[in-house]
Amino acid sequence: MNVTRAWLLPISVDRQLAVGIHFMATLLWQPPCWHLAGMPVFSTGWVAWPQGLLPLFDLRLLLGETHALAAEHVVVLRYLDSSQRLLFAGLRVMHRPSLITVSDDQVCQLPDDHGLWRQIAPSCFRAAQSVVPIIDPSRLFNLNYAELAALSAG
Amino acid sequence: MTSVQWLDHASNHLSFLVADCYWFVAVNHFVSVELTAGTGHQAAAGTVRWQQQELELMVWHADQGLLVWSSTAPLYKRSLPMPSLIAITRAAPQFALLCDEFALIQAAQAPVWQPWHPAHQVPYWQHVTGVAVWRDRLALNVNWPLLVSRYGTVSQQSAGQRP
Repeated sequence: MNVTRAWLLPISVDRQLAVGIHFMATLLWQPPCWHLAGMPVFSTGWVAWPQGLLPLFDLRLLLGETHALAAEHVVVLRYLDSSQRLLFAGLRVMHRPSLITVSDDQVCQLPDDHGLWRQIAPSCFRAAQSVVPIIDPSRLFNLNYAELAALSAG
Repeated sequence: MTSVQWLDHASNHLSFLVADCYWFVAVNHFVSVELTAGTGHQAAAGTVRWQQQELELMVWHADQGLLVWSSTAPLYKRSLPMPSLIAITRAAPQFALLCDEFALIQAAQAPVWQPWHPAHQVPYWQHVTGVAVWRDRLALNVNWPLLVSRYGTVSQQSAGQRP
């Protein structure tokens, strides 16, 4: 049975995501954040880190929740753009991610509560009583505004 | 109320004001800025006294959309709170929109711009190509030639004309 490790990202009280261990670059605590009028709700601005400004995302808002998280914890994820350049983006999480072990026998169906999962999550597993989508940061962060807005509306 | 000092008479990029009354946001307050100018122009640059401070001001025409600070601009009304004032460098494409303070960024002081993320490509900010922190302020790099090509260029006839 195949066993691998992943980071578990709590994005709300009852929803968690996972990313492959190599996608996590760092965890920022109370980073300086920058906001701008007119930005889409799911991309709430920028977060500062040593290499510059990173776009900051709050998936809860993309999933229809209405209140942004306080940006106390931001995970910085690696991803590749369409030109295969290595880039970084920030994702708000409720508290510190945890490192977990996932095995093949935990695999389950993606949740069907939102079209987002089929866009950004190639797989999914069950942990305790939760269904946890495994997201591909490259799929998520390469979505453009129109695509994200359509998902947000849906 | 307003003393207008034209900043750049000869520029091919800057054009001057149409209307006689503009509004702009400064430090989260509304200020009525009365600029008197001839017609047929597109934006204004000048100096405005406000709360004992002298601010440099650049205003785009009310009907032109993106960088609009007019009481009659729908985009403006939707944008509150807008960036207070704008900052510009003269050497394209290093024009910058500085989001809470007005200043002129000298080309030599220009920050390293981060690419504008696809998720940020909202119509409202479609002319922005990069973002950076400049002197602890959020700054946007505006594709000035694109902006000008869309919103119109000044004619040599109108450039330099004073109100």
